[in-house]
Amino acid sequence: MDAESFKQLYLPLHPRLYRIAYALTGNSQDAEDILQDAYCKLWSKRKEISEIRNTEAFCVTLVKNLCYDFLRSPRSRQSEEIVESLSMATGASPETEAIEQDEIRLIQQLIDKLPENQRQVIRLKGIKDCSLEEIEEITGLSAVNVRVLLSRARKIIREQYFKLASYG
Amino acid sequence: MDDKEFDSMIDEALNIPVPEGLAERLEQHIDKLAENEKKQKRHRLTYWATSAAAVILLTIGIFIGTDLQANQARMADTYTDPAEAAIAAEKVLAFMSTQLNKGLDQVENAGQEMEKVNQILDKHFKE
Repeated sequence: MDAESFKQLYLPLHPRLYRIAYALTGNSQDAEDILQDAYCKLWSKRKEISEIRNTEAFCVTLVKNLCYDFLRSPRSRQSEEIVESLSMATGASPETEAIEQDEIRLIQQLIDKLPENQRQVIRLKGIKDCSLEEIEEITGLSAVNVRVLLSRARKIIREQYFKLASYG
Repeated sequence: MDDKEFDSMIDEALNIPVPEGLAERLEQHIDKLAENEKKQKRHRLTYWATSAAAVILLTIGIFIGTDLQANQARMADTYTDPAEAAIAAEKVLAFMSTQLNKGLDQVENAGQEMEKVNQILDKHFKE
């Protein structure tokens, strides 16, 4: 398979793969790095995987595995530290945003503050065409767990939002 | 704000935008991977061609070396030094002379025996 055929087959999947990587890592740069790694692996194994019928499912699994490898690595902890330090340096916080009444950005920041498993599940749910079955597949959680986490996440966001909104 | 409105806001907040230029960056990344692969293939080809040429040259070298050695061994049967050649020839001739003398002695002995036999026979025929 030459480069042009490879691009035609795999490049159109990148928006969905990026959103999944972002949902799992919570960081735009990390998600992009993971995507580059994923395409590197796909390219090196293009002959072996040419027989696979469902290329999208294969790519989603690949990205998922890369994300979890990343989250377990020291690089991931460095990224978290950088994000936190940036937030502290700029003085940005949910409270500041509430005062500025930027509702969508406030909700995004509240999502960022959720526990990791709730954050991942609610972000994956936010991806179009990402079914509950696919979320189960990506996270390894059961359907019941996914629903519970979604419900809790929405509840926490609502509570935090209205709590902050009431300060304004 | 009712639940439905708030859920819509959450859905909107969850809409993750794809970074600008991501598709182009990924495309460039793939092009670079393809280019690196081609370079590696060319390097491998050069490596194998060089190795094959080295093996062929080595084989030819060994063959020529072995042939030269064999020629040198054959040339040892002749003499390049005239003095050495003369001594060797003298020895051979002396050996041949000894053997020839032995042969002649045996012939002479046989002749004497035959003479004796003829004399006996003559004596009997005359009687």
